[in-house]
Amino acid sequence: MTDNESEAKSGLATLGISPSEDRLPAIAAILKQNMGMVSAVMSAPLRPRCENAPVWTLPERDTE
Amino acid sequence: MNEWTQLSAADIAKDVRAGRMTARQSVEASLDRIRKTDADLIAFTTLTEARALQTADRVDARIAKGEDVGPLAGVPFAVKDLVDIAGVITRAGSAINMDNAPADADAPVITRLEAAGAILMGALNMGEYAYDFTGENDHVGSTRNPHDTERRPGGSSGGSGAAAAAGMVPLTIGSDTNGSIRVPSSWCGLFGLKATYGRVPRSGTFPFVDSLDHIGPMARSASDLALALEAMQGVDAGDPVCVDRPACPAVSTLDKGVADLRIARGSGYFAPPDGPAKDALDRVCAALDIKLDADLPGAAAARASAALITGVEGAATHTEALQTRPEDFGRPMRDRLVAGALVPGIAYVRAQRLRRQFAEDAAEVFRHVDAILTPATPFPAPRVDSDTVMIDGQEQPYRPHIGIYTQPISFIGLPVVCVPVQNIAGHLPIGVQIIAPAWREDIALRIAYALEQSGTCAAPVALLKELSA
Repeated sequence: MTDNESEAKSGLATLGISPSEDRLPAIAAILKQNMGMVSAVMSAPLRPRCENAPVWTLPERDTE
Repeated sequence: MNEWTQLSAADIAKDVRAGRMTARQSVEASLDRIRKTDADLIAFTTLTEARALQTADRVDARIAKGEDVGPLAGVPFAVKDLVDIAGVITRAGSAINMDNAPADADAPVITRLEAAGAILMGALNMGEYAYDFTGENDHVGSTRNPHDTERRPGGSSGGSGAAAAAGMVPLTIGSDTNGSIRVPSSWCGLFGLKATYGRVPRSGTFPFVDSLDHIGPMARSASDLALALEAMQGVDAGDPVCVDRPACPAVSTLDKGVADLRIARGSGYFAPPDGPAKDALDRVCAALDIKLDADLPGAAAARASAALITGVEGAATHTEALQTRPEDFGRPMRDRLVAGALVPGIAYVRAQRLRRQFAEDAAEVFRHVDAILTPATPFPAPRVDSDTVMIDGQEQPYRPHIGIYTQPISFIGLPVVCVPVQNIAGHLPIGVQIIAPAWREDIALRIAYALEQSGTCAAPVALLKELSA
């Protein structure tokens, strides 16, 4: 992941997305914000048991 | 403002069922209010007037024959413009969807509400493709807040908030992915319900983030939320996440009181700084004599995870349009979607795993408490001519802060009722979230009802100037 405009343009091109040049600075700014969230997610503690739950479903717990 | 405008959905249904008002009179009163107020609020995008009058006449004919037409008899309602209405293009706040064919059938939530006697009035304005917290829309105009038309209504269900707060209809339907029912409920001073993920079917609605999307009601009383939930809930084959569970007994349990409930005030991440949000939470906690507090550990990572999942799944929803006609999106929304396409896959998967962990940790907290109270938004409705508000004593851009309290909760699908606290910040209301364990909407609604009965929470119709009158 990058917040560099040219790398973002290249990465998006591989996805078939070609934003106009004038939007690249705004997109790069959002990518920078996203990098902060990626960092928070990647550094958050995760218990081993939860490593085995790649697909999310609501945990079943009958409280009724 | 006519007398009808002040009535709740329950009041209207009671009058219609008893023959004190016809369904047609109810619909005509709603149309009158819409005509007088909507031009300044931009709440409606489609008015289904002919259909509403025909439906009203059918309801009246059935009542004349002695039939029971349901608990929402003659209650006008309207839906966010991502809910399919037969014969109407489901715009979802976009320009792009206007190239689509009209929906060929009503969404199940409409069918179910009409089966309970309610009458559809039309579709409501929203933030483009629901990727919005403010109620702005570049394509049809931004919705305004009825309590102060120089302020935002909140989004993305901004039209749903404005229409109910202005008294155009007593009941609206919104959607909530990261807070899009709760934010406009907070800023427009309404009761709003985001039920448990899987309780209300999303079939026939335009998706935003499939693993986060919810459909739910907004109204001016807790009782009306309960009536709407009972009508809307239940499994539907068109929504694979909609679970076949026993129905929530929302109405019959409303007046059970709260003496037996362990209600906690949110702490840690959910403790607001000094300001209107804290003042509102203080008032609600004092009214309930709350002694407990509870934290939901990992809430900050949960919010970051929700944002990343939103970016990825939102971009996935709109990939084809981003590839072929990006210029047809509103610009800020398009930029966010494009950036979401570049979120690393391992971060997305880890976010989903953190979701499992956060849900399990929250379930453990709910072994010790029955409900947690937190702010809904960190501040009341901001002005339309400014991008900043005072947060914790500092002037800051407000958009990044709007979902701070709502996103971690919808992330794990818990049921929430947002209750309105009036006159905390001058004339502006602000909301408090009542968060309950999964599938226990009844608990949150009981607390909301108790707060309404004590006078702590109320949702009066906005004193809107009727310019066209």
